[in-house]
Amino acid sequence: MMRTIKLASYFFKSSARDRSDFFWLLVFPIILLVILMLIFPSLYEPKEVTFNLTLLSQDGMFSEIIEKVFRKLSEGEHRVFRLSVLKNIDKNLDHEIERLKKKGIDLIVEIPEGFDAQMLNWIMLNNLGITASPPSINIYSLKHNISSESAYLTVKNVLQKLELEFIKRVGYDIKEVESETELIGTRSTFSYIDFIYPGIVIFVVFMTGLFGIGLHLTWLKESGILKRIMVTSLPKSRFIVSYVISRIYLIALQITLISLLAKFVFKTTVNPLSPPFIGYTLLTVLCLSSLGFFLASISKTTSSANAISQILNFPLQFLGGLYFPVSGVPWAIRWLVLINPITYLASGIRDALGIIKSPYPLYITITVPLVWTIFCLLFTIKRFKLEEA
Amino acid sequence: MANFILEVENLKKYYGPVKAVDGVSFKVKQGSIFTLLGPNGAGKTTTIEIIEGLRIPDDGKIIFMGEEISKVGNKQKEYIGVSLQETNLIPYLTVRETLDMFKSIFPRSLDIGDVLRMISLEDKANAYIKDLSGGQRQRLIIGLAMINDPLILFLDEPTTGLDPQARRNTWDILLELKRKGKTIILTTHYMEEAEILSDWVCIMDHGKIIKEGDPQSLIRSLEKESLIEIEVEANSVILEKLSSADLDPVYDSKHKRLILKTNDILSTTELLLRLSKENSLQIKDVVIRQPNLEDVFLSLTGRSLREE
Repeated sequence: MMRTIKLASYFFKSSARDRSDFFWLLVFPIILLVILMLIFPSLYEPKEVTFNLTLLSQDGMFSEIIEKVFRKLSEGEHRVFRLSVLKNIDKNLDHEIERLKKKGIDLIVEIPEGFDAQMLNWIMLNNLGITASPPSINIYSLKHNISSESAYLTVKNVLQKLELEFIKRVGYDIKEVESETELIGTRSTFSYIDFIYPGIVIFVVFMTGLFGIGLHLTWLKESGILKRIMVTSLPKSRFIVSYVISRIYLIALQITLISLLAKFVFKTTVNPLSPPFIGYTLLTVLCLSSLGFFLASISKTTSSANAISQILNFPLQFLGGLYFPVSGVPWAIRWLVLINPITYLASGIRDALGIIKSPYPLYITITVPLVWTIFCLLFTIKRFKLEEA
Repeated sequence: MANFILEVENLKKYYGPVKAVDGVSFKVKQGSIFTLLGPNGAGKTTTIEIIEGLRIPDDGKIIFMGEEISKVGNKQKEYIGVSLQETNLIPYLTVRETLDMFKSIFPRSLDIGDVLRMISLEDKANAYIKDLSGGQRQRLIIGLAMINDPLILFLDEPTTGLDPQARRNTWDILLELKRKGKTIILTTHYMEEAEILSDWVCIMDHGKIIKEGDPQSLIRSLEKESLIEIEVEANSVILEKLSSADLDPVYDSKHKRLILKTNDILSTTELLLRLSKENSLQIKDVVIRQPNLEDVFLSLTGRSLREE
């Protein structure tokens, strides 16, 4: 194992010392993050968030407890909500949904009619050991609207953290109201660094995939270095493991540098050690590294690898939603968004971190990158020959 | 009885209609320098890349250290060291790091300091590969081939592109390795290199071995002691007269170079002067020299090694 690690460290050193690799893989992502943060200065400073919330409540013990909690959160200088409580749901719901669509409010929380009775009934059934569906609380949010989705996550968080036993037991269902809307530039109630930081992390892995693996491996092949290595008694599997470890070193260094900058200079609230962040980052590494191996498999020379990586680079990067949301792009190029693994990685990681809700279900944000990974790896196994490189 | 470390029988490698290696057979004695000599495209590199395990033969037998194998695998690779025809190294690693990187591949290896001393690169140990001269780089490549202390070294055109001094330095290293008991399998298209270094030479052309033997016996096979090389515009009448005088003339019309083989320099020169006067030939240059392996190739194929 030590010999494998040693070989990996030399592959890593060779990339870290190469000025071109050093700039594009280590320095450029930092410059990009700084530039983006300078371009959007008004969005960069984290601001105190106050959401406009309408609570459609009912009379009854359980409803009043929920109402009290939201009222408490709507008081004082550092209030979370600007709350408006309405009682007559039938009369007010449609009107409030219209207001939501026009962005007059961020979220509607509806305690449906009969909620208290359903609660009592459910608790009784539960006590008798009978399994029944819990009563639901309806939350109406705007898809693709950062403020609305942030409000949704906050309310979800509030409900989860309520120390009331009945909420803990019954849980809640959430219904969503779809509406076409632009995401950025309408409000300033979110932190841009929290949005861009996971995007830059995906970007550095993407750059390593294309240039640090695809181009680098093609160069190793073209220059005969790979052939020179394969003429030794080194087993193919050990070469691959060493090479992958060297790329992991590189990616770990890149992510560490970006994370330090994001955390200590730009004050992101995203925790890079949180399980969702680590999980999606690993999925990103898996998927985009495979893309690099795929590139090395289809490229005979560094010139062709360079050309292909440039062709892939811009569409995948800019139509993957790394720097701005892409849900509103015209249908003519929408397909590029939908087949792009970066779209799902960026949406998934931001959703998992509670930054912005993904327009795609969680399983899709994992499945699509995995399908890409499997395709790229199978193609590489079939096409990339180490022996006669 | 000779101790053969490597035997190859009827080795074949075809690429469609191209017969890159077409039934090659040879035996390599332990501790000798064995050379495949031939022009570019003769099949030398394909032959040794099959033995190095880089290519899979279409047919043939390889007996490696007494064991018949269909393909050279990792077990055999432990005992071989390789210098490929065109080897690039990672430019941003130092000489020492490069040796250490290759050392880490093998379970058994030489001390890096010893290898550096052997290839005379101690003072360049911490220099980046990109900063080495061609000769220093080639010495390092031989050092890398030596790092696992192999029994057989495969060196594919190790001196191509080097200046005469660097070439001679490389020869010194190879002769020192031979002295240490290493078996060296060399490919080259430099007849002087083959002549000076080799114990046994196989001359290859169009994927086949056309003649083999030790360099001196190959040269003696020409059966002439001297060659007279003349720069002249010859015609068929002259060539016919020279042939009838048993001088085996070979004429390269492109370079206007006429080569005559003789055991009697004086009478051949007299004949040449007479023919020159009678036919008003303009002789521009005359060189009298000993025959070499290039002349052997020329007499076998009618072509020069350097023409290819």
